[in-house]
Formats: sequence, C-alpha cells, structure tokens
Amino acid sequence: MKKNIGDTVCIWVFPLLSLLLAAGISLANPQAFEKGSVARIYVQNAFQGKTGYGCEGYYGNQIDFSGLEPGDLILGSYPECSYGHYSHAGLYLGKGEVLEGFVDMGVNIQNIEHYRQYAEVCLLRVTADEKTKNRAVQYARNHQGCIFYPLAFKPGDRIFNCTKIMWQAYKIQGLDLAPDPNLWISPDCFRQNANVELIREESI
Amino acid sequence: MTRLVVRLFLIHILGCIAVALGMYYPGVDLALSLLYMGIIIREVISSQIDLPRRRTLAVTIWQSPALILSFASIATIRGWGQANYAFFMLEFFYTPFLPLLSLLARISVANMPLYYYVLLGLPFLIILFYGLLLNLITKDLTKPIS
Repeated sequence: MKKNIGDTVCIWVFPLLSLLLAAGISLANPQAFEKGSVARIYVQNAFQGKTGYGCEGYYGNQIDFSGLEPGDLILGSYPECSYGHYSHAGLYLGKGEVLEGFVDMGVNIQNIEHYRQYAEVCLLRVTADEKTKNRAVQYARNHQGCIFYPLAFKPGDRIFNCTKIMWQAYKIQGLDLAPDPNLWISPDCFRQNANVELIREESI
Repeated sequence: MTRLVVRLFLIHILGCIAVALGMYYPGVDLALSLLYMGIIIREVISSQIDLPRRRTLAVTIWQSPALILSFASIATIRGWGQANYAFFMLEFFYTPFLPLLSLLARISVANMPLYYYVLLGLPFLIILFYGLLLNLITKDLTKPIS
C-alpha cells in the first residue's frame, strides 16, 4: 500500500509542480503572451512550420566591421527564423573578438569574421558611456563557459542564451536593453531598443 | 521491466518540463533537479525486478535516446550536419541535470566548455552509476547475517 502511494506521488509530483510554476510565471508576467511577444511570435511561426534559428548556411555577408567598439552589439539573421527577424546576437569585445552563446560551446569568444555566414548582419551601438560599456564587457567575459540553454529565462545568472548574456551584462550596469515584459529576449528586442543606435546593416 | 522503462521515461519527461519551468526561479531549478534525481533513484531501487542486470537494462533502454544523440553529436557524417542538432536535442533531453551542471567550473578543454563533455558522457555515467548501485545493493542483501 505504501509503495503504491509512493509510486503515485512520484508520477504526479512533477505535473503538479509544473502547474504551480506555470501559474506563478503567468501571474508574474501577464503580458508575456500578448500580441508581439517573443513567445507568441514563436508559437505563430511554429504553426507555419518555422522552428529554430532559420535556414543556416554560409551567405557571405560583406558588411564592414571597421569602427566597432567594445560593447557594441552584432546581430545576425538567417531566413525563416522562428523567433523574429534576427537569429543571433553577439557582444563585441574589441580586437576582432565577439562574445556569444552556442548550444555546444556555451558562452564563448569567437572571431567576428564568422558573422559573414549570416544573410543579414546589423551592428548596433549602445548609448552609454565608455565605463559602462567596459564593465558590461568585463561581466560578459567573466561568464565564459556558462551553459547555453535556448529557453533561458530572464532571471538567473547561471544559464544563458545568446541574448541573455549581453542583456544581463548591461542590466547589471543599470541599462535595460529589453524592458518589454517578455519571458525571453530575442535579438530583435535589441534592434528595437531606444538605447541603441544603428551603426550599419547589410543583407544579401 | 516494461513498467520500469515506461515509468522512467514518464518521470523523465515530466521532470524536464518542471525543471525547465523551474529555471525561472533561480534556486528552485536546483531543488527540482535534486528531487528528480531522488525520484529516479527511488524508482530504480524499489522496482519489483529481481535481477540487477534487468534493472540496469531498463536504465540502458531509458538512456538509449541519449546514447544515440551522444554518438550523433560527435560522429562526422558528410552532407548532413547532424552533430549540432544532435547536441541540441541531447541538451534538451538532459534538462533535469542542467541546473546542477551549471554549477560546474567554467573551464574549457579544446575550446569546448566542461559541460559539453559531461553531457556527452552522461548516458554512460548514468548507466554505470545504476549498474554499480544495484550491484552494491544486491551484495548487501545477500551478505550472510553473522
């Protein structure tokens, strides 16, 4: 009898906890599923057969990377991306290095030239003083090796996706680059933010 | 054995959902991760199957998707490019372990983070863990009472 109760509890504990957690998240973020939200865009695109970050490949974008400063944001776009126009984001560290997140490499540093693979690239400058940007860059550097998880929510500093790391880096400095009531941050949030200005963008 | 395999898969999938949602509340995800491990251990140990070999087989069947994904993540097959997608799916399969893996030291080996290697090896580690655990329990139960 005891074992039967134990077996039942083991099966039902996670569904009940999931319901509680989902209710808590929904109550804390009532606008998270409204029109235009990242979650809604993803679900709508999923119904149209678009899932993931789009049609990956090497598109050979010829954007000019000169003039970039540490703290600038770089967005890359593949066609048919399911969560918005842009698929990926990186934080420029200087000397041709970009900090970004990938599922297998986690939060890591790459050469900026790999952004030439994207069909569209956008360079953004955060309107903040140099000290703020340098602190943001240092925060991001200190989180190299952190786990990348595509569904990383905004709260927390152990698990990141490509956008959360740079959002968090600036948020800690007092600058919120994605103040919308979204559960997740898409690269489009940065493009639309009032605290960034467009340096240049180029598409194939 | 079928009952154990089905229950392991069911608890695992439900655990994945709960832990993924739990990541919204830092700390809660760690607690859920530990709860998940406790429930799975209880499930395997308290199973009605007599032979530890059969229980280990049930664990192996439960881990078979991860075994396949782990191999696919490192296999270089031309023209398909499955490695990235395979690791992506492997990470989702091991969602319940991610909060605990996030506590690992942030060191890189050959430009890949430590958690990458741990995730690749996790199916083997889990099978080995339960194989040893069940062997140990069986030995304890068959020890003559002095």
